[in-house]
Amino acid sequence: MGIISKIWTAVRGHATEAGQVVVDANALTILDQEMRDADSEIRKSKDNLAQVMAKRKVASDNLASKKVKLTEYVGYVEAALAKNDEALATEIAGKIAEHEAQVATEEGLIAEYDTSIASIRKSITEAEDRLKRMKVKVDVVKAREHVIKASQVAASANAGANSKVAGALESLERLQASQAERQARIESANELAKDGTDQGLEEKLRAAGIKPGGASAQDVLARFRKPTT
Amino acid sequence: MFERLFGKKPQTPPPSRHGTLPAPLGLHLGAAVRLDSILSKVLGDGRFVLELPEPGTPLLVQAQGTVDLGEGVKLHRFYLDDDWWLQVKVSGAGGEEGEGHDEILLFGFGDVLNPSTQAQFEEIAATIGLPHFEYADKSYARQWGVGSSQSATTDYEERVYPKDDSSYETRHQDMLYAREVTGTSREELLLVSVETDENGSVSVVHSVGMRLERTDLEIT
Repeated sequence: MGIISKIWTAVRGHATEAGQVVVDANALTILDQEMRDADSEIRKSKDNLAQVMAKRKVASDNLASKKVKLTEYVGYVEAALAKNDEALATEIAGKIAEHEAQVATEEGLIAEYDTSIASIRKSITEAEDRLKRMKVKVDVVKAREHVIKASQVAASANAGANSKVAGALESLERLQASQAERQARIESANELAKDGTDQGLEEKLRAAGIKPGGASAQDVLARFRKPTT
Repeated sequence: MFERLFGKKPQTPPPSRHGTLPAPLGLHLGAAVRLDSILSKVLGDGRFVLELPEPGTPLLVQAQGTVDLGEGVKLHRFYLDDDWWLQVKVSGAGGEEGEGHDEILLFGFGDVLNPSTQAQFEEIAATIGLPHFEYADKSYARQWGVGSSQSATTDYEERVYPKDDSSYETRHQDMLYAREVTGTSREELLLVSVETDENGSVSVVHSVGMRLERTDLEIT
């Protein structure tokens, strides 16, 4: 594989990853919309079912009506034959034939409606079951998402707290170091001050012709007494 | 009599809804209705007071009436040529436009009484709702109400839309009667209706009819 090809593969890989990230980030929103769409489709299917059932009822009413008419016609054809009214009997018989054919057609139509109704009902039940299972899964995913977010917040807060504690410790250490330094400076300054004071006195004594260092107060006093003897 | 019933001028400005009137079974103003010719031939032998239309005669819808009985139940009436009228009873939204229906009745207008005094009206009204009613030398049994005493009429308002853009309202106080007819499963119906128009004029209208199957009618 050439370099260009590898680079292209890498670019495509990154693009896919980026797309995946976007999709994952909106997965719940997408799922919610998909479930709403599925819900809407199920409602449409139910409307269709209601329409088919209404048509089936009309066909069934028509069939019942035709069967009633058939029975009625049979009575009339018998009455016409009893009266030797062949013309009327033939006309009624023609109507009976017509109605029998229509009854057969209506029965076939009703059977088709029944098949269609059963199929739509099955399809609706299956879709509702799938949607129900999907809703449960999405609820679980949402609950997990909440847990993860809550954990992330907690972890983030903890990290922040740790960071702050570490910072405080550092500050404390810096403060302690600073305090130690300042204390050392004070001590040093005191020392210096002390040294400075003695030195000044020595210089004053030297200026006064008094021998610096080593002599005690009695020695000094003795020297003052000597001229008087 | 048809002219008398539908020639009334409306007193209140009616809502014009001729373009949006329900069309159960495809019935509408101007539609042609044909009754199964076998019925006219078989039942037109004098057994019925009702004299069915000549076989194959198309009857045009001249006016349409609507009655709201409440709880989703409606009556749609279609007034045809030659004093015939059809009533289609529907329930629920599905029956307003499609083939769905609860009942189809065919009536022909019979006698119309116009009592000129209160006493005359009360005399007529005293018989409406009794268990049996005599009409055209036939006895009809009451279909609404029970017991041996007089039953209350069923009261409702009907708005009628003739072919022009007008409409008017009629108050009905009805009682339905029926009798069995030999040699057929079909009963003969008698609807006795006290009708009060928008001017307050009262008439007692007798309509004789029968229940129809959907297949008894050809509607174009």
